[in-house]
Amino acid sequence: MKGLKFHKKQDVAIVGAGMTTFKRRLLETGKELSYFAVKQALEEAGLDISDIEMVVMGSAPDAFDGVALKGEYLLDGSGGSDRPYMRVFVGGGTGVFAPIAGYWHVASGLADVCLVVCEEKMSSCYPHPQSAFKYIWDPILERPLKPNLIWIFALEMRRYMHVNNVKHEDIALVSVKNKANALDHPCAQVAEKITVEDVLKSEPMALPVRRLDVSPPSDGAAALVMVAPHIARQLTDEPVWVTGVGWCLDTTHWTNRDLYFPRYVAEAARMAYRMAHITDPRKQIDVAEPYDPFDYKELHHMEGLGLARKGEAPILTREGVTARDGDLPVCPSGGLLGVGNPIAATMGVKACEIYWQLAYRAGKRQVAKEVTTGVCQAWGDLMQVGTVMVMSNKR
Amino acid sequence: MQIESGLADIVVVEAHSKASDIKTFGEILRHAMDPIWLKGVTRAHPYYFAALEMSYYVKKYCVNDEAIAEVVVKNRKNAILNDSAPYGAKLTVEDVLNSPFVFYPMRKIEIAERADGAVVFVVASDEIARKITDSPIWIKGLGWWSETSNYDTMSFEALYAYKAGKMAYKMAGIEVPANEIDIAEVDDRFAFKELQHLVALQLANKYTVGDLMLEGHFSRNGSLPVNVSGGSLGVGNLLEATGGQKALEIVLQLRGDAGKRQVDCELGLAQSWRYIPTASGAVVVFGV
Repeated sequence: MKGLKFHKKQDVAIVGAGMTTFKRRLLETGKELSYFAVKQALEEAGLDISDIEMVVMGSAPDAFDGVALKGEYLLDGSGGSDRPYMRVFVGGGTGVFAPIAGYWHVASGLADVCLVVCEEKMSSCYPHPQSAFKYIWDPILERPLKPNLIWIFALEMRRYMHVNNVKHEDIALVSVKNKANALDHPCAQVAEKITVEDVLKSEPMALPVRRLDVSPPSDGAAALVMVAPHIARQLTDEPVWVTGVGWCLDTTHWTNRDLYFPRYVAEAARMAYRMAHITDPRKQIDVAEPYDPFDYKELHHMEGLGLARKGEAPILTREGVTARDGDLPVCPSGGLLGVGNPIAATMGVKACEIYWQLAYRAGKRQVAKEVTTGVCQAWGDLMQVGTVMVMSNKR
Repeated sequence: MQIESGLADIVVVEAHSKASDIKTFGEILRHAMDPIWLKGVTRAHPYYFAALEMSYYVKKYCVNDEAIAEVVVKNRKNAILNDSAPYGAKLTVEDVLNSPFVFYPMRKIEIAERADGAVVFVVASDEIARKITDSPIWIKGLGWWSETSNYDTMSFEALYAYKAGKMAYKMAGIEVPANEIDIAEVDDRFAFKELQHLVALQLANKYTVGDLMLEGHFSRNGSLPVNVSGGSLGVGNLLEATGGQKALEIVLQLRGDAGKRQVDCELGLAQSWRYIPTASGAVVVFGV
């Protein structure tokens, strides 16, 4: 990256987005879910499927749907048939990595209109999608210990609380905020008004992680339409421009990292900010959608994104800075904690939400302040992938 | 695309296959089928679908058995000169024709055996490439295409290779591929697929491709050498890394690093297919 001047062939604009309701949708196939999201995105963009040149599909492990080569399986529903079609996948990070892939389809000049679709169907995994995670661990060193994702996150959460001297009450505030934000989201799965007390008294999963600290598994799909400038001009007066993208993979040996700070997010953000000419993210970013599958993760990622200094994110949350009417709204959609966590399809509450906010199309969820620049971020794989995208409604 | 979009100057591409870990290959392929329409239809090994496609192809274009056997003979023979190829063998057309069927009309010997392996490429922007080396191999054009994942609506004509080829040829400025391409590596994980892909890539006529094969047109010293590396029949089925092996061979040949199997060439084509049960493929045109 050093010395790189980011010479792209053309700018990239987003002109439409769509997402399905996130919930347990066992009766619908992944193809159908993709179709719903694509249809909505095309309608918003004012395009027809025949206008689409290339399709990017983001979908996390095949194990969830029980279909191998899932990208191929989802071809028809997502509109990828008879087109150059590509599936990308970095676990949970796919929610922002798929639009990054869409970005390079357009920025490289290979496509002028690219459709990005993310789909996930976790309900077909029996008895619980957690069992699919059994196979992500190193087969020699870790799998014999029979680890489980929640345990690992409990370790990480405890480390974060310890290093930054944060109390669980402060972390629980994130869950309270996001679940309340989600009340205004028509696609939300677990929107509710709760209190910090409720979180602290909810069922323990692997302490300190409790039931309400965690986002639910979910089914859903989301879609984005990314176009070249000359197409964007024909479609809308107010496209949202992708100004920076970044991604980073840390080592998969999570035992070798200090868990209190997400270095992978910081590196990814550094790349995206450099491209977007952002030097002071806290001042220049107006709205943020960091990945929040657990409530501490929102804080963790805010610090990684440079929106707060190390250990400062809980304070900002307590002071209401990150509320929807605050100075730096964070997860105004309700995030994964409120809307649901269908791994890759979280693009709907991350990349799509920032697009809607910057296009002033977020309806009741629209943040109070005036917005020009927003950032969305996702995280995943074996807790080591950070993907970041910066958007702006000014070119 | 990462380089063209200005995101990176140097990109490393890796592909690998660890097929030896797989115990139930057929079951994994079955899992890639539509769970409602296709998976429940039969417990049979999914290679039957390839056999169905083969019988359709052979009947429609009157391809004779000898031509398909010749694909096996040629590729296994080419593989003898390739140190990375485990399945090199001296066979005759009779040997192939006398070998047993497993999925009629397909013989066991016409199906590529699996192999383990890894392939790595370093891809750089032209500015960097010129700095690092005097003789880089250029990517002149690339294309990829997906047809559909449903067997009931597929064309069985390798339309994916045709469309991907068209995209790559357009980018590379190639008008008559059969005249301009010097060397090709196409997917041959089922022997008949080599013929089908050569036609789809506009490198041969659909009715004469079998005769050309028997005449040695596609052999190592023929006018259009195809699968000089030994192809997947000789090198092994590297699953998702198969395309990597194809591209690697073209790069080696264009660089003049192919050793004993070197042919004289300036413009090469590598094509891959995503194996059953898909109709997706990609094409890259390399040049010096």
